[in-house]
Amino acid sequence: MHKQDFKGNIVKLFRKSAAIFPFIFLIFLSTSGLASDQVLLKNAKIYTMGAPGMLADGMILIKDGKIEKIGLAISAPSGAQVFDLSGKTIIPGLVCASSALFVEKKDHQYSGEERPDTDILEGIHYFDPSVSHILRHGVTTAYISPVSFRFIGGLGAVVKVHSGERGELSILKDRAALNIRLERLQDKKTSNILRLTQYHRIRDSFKQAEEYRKEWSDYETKLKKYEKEKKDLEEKEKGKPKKPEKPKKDESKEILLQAMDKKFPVRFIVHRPDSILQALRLGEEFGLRIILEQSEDWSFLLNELEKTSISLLSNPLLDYRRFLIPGGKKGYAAQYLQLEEGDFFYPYRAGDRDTQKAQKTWSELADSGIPFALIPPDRFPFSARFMRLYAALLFSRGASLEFALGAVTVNAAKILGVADRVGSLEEGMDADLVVLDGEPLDSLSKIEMVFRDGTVVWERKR
Amino acid sequence: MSKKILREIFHKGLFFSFSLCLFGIFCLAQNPLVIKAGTVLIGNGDELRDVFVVVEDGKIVFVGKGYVVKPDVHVLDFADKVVTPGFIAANAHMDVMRQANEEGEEVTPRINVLYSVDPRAKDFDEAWRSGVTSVYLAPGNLNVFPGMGTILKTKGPTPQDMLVQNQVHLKMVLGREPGQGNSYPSGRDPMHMRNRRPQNRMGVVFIIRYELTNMQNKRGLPDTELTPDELVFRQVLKGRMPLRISARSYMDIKTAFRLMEEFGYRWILEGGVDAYRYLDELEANDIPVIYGPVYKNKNRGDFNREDDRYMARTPVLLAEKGIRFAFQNNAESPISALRDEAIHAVELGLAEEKALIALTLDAARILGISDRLGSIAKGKNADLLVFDGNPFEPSSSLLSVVIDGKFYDPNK
Amino acid sequence: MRSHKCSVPLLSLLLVFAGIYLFAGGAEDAYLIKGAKIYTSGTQGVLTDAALLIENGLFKKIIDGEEWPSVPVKDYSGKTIMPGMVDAHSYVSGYYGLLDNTKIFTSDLITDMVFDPLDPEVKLALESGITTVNLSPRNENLVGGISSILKLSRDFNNISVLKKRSFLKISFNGEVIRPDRAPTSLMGAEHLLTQKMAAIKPGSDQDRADIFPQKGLRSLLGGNLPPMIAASTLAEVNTTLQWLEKWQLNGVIVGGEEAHLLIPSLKQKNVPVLMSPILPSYPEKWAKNAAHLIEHGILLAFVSHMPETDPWSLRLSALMLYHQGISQQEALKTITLTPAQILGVADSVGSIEEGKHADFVVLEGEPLDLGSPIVAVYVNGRAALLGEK
Repeated sequence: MHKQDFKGNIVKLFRKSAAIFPFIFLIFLSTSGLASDQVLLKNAKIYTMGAPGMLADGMILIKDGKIEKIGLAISAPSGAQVFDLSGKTIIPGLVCASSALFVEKKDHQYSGEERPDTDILEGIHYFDPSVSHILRHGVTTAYISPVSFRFIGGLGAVVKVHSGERGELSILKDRAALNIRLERLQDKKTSNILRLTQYHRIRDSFKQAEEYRKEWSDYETKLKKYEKEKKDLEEKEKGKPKKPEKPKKDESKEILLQAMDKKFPVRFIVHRPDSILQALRLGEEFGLRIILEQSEDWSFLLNELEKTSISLLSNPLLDYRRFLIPGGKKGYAAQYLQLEEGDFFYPYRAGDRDTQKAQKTWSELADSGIPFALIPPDRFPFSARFMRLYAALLFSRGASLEFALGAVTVNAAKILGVADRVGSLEEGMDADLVVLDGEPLDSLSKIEMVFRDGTVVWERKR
Repeated sequence: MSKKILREIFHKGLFFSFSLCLFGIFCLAQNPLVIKAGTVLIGNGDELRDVFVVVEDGKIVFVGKGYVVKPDVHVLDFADKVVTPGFIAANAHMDVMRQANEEGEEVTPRINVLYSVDPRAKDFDEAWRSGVTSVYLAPGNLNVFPGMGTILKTKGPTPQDMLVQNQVHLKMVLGREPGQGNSYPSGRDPMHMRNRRPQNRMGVVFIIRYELTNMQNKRGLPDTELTPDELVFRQVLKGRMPLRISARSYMDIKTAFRLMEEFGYRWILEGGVDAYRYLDELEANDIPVIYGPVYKNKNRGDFNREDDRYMARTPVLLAEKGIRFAFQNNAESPISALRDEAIHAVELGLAEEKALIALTLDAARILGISDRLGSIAKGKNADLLVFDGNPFEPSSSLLSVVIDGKFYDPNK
Repeated sequence: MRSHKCSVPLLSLLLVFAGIYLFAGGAEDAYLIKGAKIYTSGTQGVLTDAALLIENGLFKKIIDGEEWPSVPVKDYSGKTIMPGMVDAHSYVSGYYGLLDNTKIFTSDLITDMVFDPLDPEVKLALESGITTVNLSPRNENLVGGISSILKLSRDFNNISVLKKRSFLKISFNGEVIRPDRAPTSLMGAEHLLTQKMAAIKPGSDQDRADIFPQKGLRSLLGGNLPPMIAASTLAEVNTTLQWLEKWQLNGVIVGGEEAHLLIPSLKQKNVPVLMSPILPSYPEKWAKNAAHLIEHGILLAFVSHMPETDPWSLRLSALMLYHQGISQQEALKTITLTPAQILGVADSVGSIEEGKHADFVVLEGEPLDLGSPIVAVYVNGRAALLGEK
């Protein structure tokens, strides 16, 4: 019996050390200075998603974390590390246009008092344990935001999926968008009154922001007048005029004003068609750049949406009519994911969801030219890793490969406003790329390597 | 590039560390396990110096001097260390079950607590890390007869692997706790589960008397005509199974004595905050006491009142009277504080030998498992603790824990 | 087996197709499927150049050559065919109908009455490739009732029941434990069940013995009905195994999220696991644990608990297994043949083999590639979807 134990211990120990190996290897790789070296990837099929199009047998030269050259024939500079990737496919690093990464679990649940000036970068959970899992599925860029349950959430940011040992974070864009929730979807029965109240509260905040701007502009004109008068009186030495009163600074109103000046877009989290229309109305009234998030019922309003210049973030899996937790409310998964009452959506007789019709609407969306990106179907951090899978589902619903893959790469980057750095493989862009052993939207193809900023951050064990 | 070389160096380093670990395991897993200890407190109050403790198949096979060590056997040398038996919590309050109370009925003597136990619970981890290697677990106090308890080791993959003995002592709860939550319906369905007896102390005694009188009336019936629940009560009334009576205040202890005179059961006092008031009676009837916690009692922890001083000194008083006692924890003190309780009792005047006996052998005797656990003797389970000094000095720390012959490091 | 000739399809498109078949096939309701790559899930593995002869709703013959009989041909060149999926634990079309909240022992209820072919969920399931379901009572009751194995059908005149009494559903799940009624704990649940089983006699303590005579529990004790036990955590699975041993029963575990912690006992007692689907929101290690169970030789099948999860989660779960290093054919078995074996209906469904029911799914690409849409679903040899391409 003891001998058996002994044997088992050896096996266990071997396994343990085998598990440590890739981590040490990763540290080794990241510290060995690959980033400053030149890397040449050759003989791969490259979906650049940008100007070069699809390269059947292309090469990429990476220098200092950027793509130095991309094309069909590049001669390897001396000292460059060469990866021969024949039979492999390269796609840009995936972009997740909405995620719950870098937010602590507690912040999911008790979001506290939320105001427009809540900035995700001030409450970031640097050592999010899910980050490494998401990275190994090829997701290199993500939009992060405070989780919002109240009406006006906070400011989100676009970051690289990366958690350094000392909590360093590479931010692509701060103040990327302002999150606004137009309807509360607790227990999936949104009452009309509640929804209207919510709408009017949001409208009031924007109205107040407008008044605030007027107050300040009044003050400034008065101030100019005052200074002019003061000068005049000082010259004539006839006493002092009354100084105008300075209005109070209000950071949250400033942020709303910035949104109204189109400094950053506003993300409306909506579900139902009437809420989508409300969002459009708000956008028209206050001149907002709108991104619709979730918006399960966009297909009813495709014609309306085409007329406006909105962007759409959605997922074929989103469906507010049923809950998606096996085992129910007191089941294992619900406890594991720490779900709350409001997270459950009781299935009532679901509407007749017609696959044929769905396929038609998704291909119509592709033709309509509305900027579209995929988001995970729920707000759990781990859902963000399957961006490629969601794209595959979109592909199976009749969208073209370019549209489906674009929805997790270049189009997502465009909507997030970071298309100058990520989302496609072009010269001068960040060298974020994913090496696959098959077609990108075949869910059976496995990820071989993930590069972020020219560094191999994950490699499949052989 | 340098990558290749580095990788090779790394591989070599990995192999080296691997072989080092392999060697370590080889030493530990060698059969038999020979420990050479400077001081061994064997658990019954005696102390041995410079002896060998030999463990084979999780059992102690030899304690004493003059063991002939085979040449290829590695001897674990604890020359300047102190080895004691693993501590036993004669009653443990641990958060290891999702729901510790089955409140459907008041009398559930055959509930098996083993089914609810989750071996991965944090409290088990805390227990063995603090030297508690065996615990007595019973269903919660919200029933009059919540069920029989079970004795578990604190480390193992499944409850069955941890099991020492199941169905030990029928628990009986006196006081207000079983009545908690039961009340006449106000805005509640009159058929609700909660609308029932007991609702106070007297209701609890009513149910006890009802059950036990029922058994007395069935005295003449053969075993085959009784329900399994009634068979348990027959065991109790015949004195084969002791009742473990959870009674805190003097009223409840008095009730336990009264009921004893009426029905003639054997019993063990658990909790026993007011046990010091009944020292003579406890001694006269040979009733063991499971007492605790000695300190950290939030409600009475300040020792301002005279009563409190008495209560903290209860272990000392019990020891003076020669009443067998063991330590327990409760909801207000963690299981890891069991040794701290003993240390505190020693500070208040309890002899160190008595404190160790209470933590080990007497606890095992009360639980009826002293043939397997509780002291370092031939044939018993190899549950050992290695301290770097006197275990009753707060400064000395626990170096390793041995459960069934396997070494665990509590500081990792 | 029911005859297809005499069934009158009510839905118009089905009528058109049936008409075509009847016209072309003459008296014999036979046709040939060819051109597709076939994942049989059975002993024949993957067939790249074979044709399926379907007659009277059964796979009459798998022809691996050029000698085709003169029957109508359906050409699925470039497509892939997999067996119809078997969902071994589903509440499809009857989420609220599968629970009787008045008692915790409702072992007399049989679920086949609850099935509603007109429910949109049935369509959803069919569209996702599920052809056979084990309709189970819910987890809230300690003994929920008797599950039935049904073929999915949207025609209420033609519901075919494979097995009316397949399992007795018992639950040790968290949902059975409630603060306002017994049992309030897991040990109490086990105790209550043991007590009930020990004291089953007519006119016993229960107040509704005329409505619930507990026939299900009786046949469980008689060995005629195997138990299907909902258990998720380590304590629940452990309780299940101990309980099965105590009563000397062979059972099946549903849920089983932490079953991997008890692999030795599961293996020793030969208990199969019907595992909850793996969703995108779960961490990687859940799939790893499931793969672990398979690697240790434990019979594992994924179930959907529909409508608690979408039916596409079955294919997703199998895909997760594939990404844990299990081959596509083996992963595919966890949603086709293995559940059929666990349910005891592997002689009629679960794989494409001669003599079995002609339940199969036609896909554009590989079966586990979620990017390949489902083109057609056949149940008992007939196209089950309305809009077939």
